[in-house]
Amino acid sequence: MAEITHIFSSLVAPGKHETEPAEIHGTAIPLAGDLFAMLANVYDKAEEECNIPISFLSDGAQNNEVRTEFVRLVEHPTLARANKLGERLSSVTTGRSGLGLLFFVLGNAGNRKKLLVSRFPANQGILAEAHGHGLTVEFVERVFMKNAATYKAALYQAVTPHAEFWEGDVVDKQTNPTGDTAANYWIREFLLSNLRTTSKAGSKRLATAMREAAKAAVSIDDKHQLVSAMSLMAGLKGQVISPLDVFDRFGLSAQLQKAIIAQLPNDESARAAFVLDADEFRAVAAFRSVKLNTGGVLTAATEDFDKVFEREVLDEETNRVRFSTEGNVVDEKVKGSQ
Amino acid sequence: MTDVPLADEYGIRYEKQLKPVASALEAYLHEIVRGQPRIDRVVARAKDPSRFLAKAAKIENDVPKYSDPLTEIQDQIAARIVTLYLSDVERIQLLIAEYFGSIEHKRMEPESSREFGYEGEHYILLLPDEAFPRPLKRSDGPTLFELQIKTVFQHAWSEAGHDLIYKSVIPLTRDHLRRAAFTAAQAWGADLIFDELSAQLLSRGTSH
Repeated sequence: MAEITHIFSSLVAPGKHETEPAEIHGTAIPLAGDLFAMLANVYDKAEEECNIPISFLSDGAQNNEVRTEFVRLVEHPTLARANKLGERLSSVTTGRSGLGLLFFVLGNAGNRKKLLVSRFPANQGILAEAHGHGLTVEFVERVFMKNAATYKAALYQAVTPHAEFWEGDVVDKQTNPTGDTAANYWIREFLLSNLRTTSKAGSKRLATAMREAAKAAVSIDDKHQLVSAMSLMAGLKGQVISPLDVFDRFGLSAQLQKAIIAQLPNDESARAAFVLDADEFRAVAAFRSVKLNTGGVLTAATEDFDKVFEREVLDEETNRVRFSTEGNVVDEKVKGSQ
Repeated sequence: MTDVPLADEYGIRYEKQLKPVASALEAYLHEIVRGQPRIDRVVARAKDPSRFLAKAAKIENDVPKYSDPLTEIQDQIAARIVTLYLSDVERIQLLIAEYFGSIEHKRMEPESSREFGYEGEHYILLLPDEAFPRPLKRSDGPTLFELQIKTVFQHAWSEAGHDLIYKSVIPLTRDHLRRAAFTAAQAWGADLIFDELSAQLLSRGTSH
């Protein structure tokens, strides 16, 4: 278990578009008791939970004001510094995001400094207490919950925070699938960051991995499933996805997932989210070809293949199929064997 | 921290992490610029241990410049893309911005309009996942690398002058500096003229 050295909490009210934002109130949390135990549990699980790699935006001269504040907080932890970051969160928080409780959990993990920043949204609740044979229920206006749908956190770890700390990992349940608003709020506006993997880099990486996995697949069924999934990728244009998301969306089998992950640079790349650039994906996987045992080869643009060629299964057992298509001949050519 | 353990630590890092990372990064950069016209070369290297240790020992204002050289020195991995004309450099810059997160960009040129010397585009970029092929992990190596984008003339001048002028072990005289500046001015002029020629002749070539 990692060692926790400080915990600060700031109550953050919506302050975006407010001429006079509410004053930020904060406190240092004692490193014992039930609240500490709950936060220590969140802190310990943060590496598993924060699974979207992000990086700070820079002004071109290695400056980012949020990163600077995080480094100061880690190197010289004070409540005033935590509250300053609370003010920043308030300045980008709208009424829609509502009231939140911001926690800063600081500690050490081996020779690394570790900082977890997490926001628990406010909710309404009912407090029920049984006593004797009776029950009392009471409305509670401000309950701060680690809500599975709206919980946000960011995790940074470094041996030398002032030199490193350019990259972190977040959890933001509202990022997918078209959660631009949420991504804007937590990742871009508060953390002044972006997804670490650029749109082009992620799209190229995923397309290459899927294409190579299809090439390497032995079974015709596996090849078909992979190529079919690639044909549908254009439908995710502009959405925040990771290879793991794609597996879920297309219901790819564990075996196919493993085959794609094996073609990614490393296991960590499977969770790297990015905004899909359909043109870049298409550039890597432009054409889909089907080769028949008769020697026939059918080729069309990957995303149009199923529209261009109608596929009819004649015999499922032998995998015998008939393809048909209609159109005007616009070209005809022969190719050499080399 | 003494030099001996730092030398050992960097030596291990150099062999086990930096060299394979540099090699994978070079392959990835080749992939990114594939299909781009007029790419002269793409290279990436891990910083040589002797150069790293010399940099780590630098003193600034009477104190060591780096308190933790292993995390603070940002060019442990450095890459260079060399292309033919100045307009090519601009095109490659746009391409790089689409694939890499950047934390620093400097246009390197002499401060005074009367001086000629080192020129190029220097970036500090986030290393991509592709630089950490299995069994490497991102946490194994540095986070950042330096990328230089240069024309062939800028590249030639910096290569020819690096050890001779920039790393000179003897104090350079006024005459040495003037000669070096003269060669830099010629490289600068050649770039300018080739860029103009390429703009005139390549556009005609494509229009016919």
